Amino acid sequence: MTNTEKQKHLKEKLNELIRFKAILTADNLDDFNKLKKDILDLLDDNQKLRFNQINFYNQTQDYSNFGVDDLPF
Amino acid sequence: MAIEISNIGFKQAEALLSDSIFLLNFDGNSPEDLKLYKLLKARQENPDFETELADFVCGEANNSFPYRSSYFLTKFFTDLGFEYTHDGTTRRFWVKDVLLQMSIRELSLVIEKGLFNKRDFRKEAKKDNKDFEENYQNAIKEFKNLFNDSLSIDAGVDLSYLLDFNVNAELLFDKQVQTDDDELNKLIKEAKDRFFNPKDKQIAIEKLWDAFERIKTYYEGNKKQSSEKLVSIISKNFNSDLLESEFYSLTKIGNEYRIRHHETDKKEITEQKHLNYLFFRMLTLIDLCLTSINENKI
Repeated sequence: MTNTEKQKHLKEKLNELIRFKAILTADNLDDFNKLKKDILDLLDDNQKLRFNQINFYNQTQDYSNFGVDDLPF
Repeated sequence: MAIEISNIGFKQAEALLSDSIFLLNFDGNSPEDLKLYKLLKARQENPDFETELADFVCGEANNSFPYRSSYFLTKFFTDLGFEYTHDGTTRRFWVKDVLLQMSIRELSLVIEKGLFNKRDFRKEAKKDNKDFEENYQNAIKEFKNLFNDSLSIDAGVDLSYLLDFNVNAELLFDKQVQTDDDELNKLIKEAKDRFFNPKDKQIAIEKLWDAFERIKTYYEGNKKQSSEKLVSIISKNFNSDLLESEFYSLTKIGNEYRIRHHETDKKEITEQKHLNYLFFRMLTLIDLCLTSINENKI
């Protein structure tokens, strides 16, 4: 891949990443992880190391579907 | 399970990708791009670069940078045009997270306009009754150490590329000057220290020329006789005409340009590249003199 091609891909992935910031949910997590993998393929070793250390989200318990049976008492 | 998005994480990734794009696109002939490239290399080679830089921004006890409380950390970034407000968490960790969100262009702004803002150093020096100039020079050295250490983590990096110096120049700088003449030692040390600060290069050249005039009288008060002895010592097994002519040329340059004298008819050296050239030309000659003086003692 030439530098120009790599640059083009990186810009595309950057735009996708920015879009995900607004729409990331548990439902499209697989798509997001695929994007992360695509990005990693474009980075060198030091950049990969840094990218892997980034925490994009935290998983929290979804209480909206909780019923009486889910209560611990 | 639900997802709670980390805006900080996304911003860090955006900065990292922007930097990667910059690396593929930078103009090696542009001094501005080259500067960013060098800074980015240091950043990428050292996983703790932002952590160590955060210590400088906070002004932790183990460095020479001004101490910044929570209020002043927020002010530090807002004054530079960034919208970050310290949230009360541990200062250095918060600053590290902020720095990680910055592209290399933004980081360079933080360093140039924020970290080395002389106003902050002056205030701190006044408050704590410290020597401003000494503190400022120490801070520059500490930053350069971080810079050098970051790159030396990976042995494959060409350190000489970092500071536009060649290997011989590095050796010249690292060499400790020890002669019997304390004033001479001080002049050379100050010239080297000041040369690290781009704004002080003119003064660095002046100090170095002062050192040259001083070294001419190393052997005796009569400058002519002492210089002749010095030229004879440094020319041992070499070409004395060549070195005598170098003594003469550099003396002439010192007198004709605004180095030793500041009358209006003296020519000003306006380009950094010419200041660099003259500095190293003189430093090399002085280094030869010092080496030869020390050898001659034995």
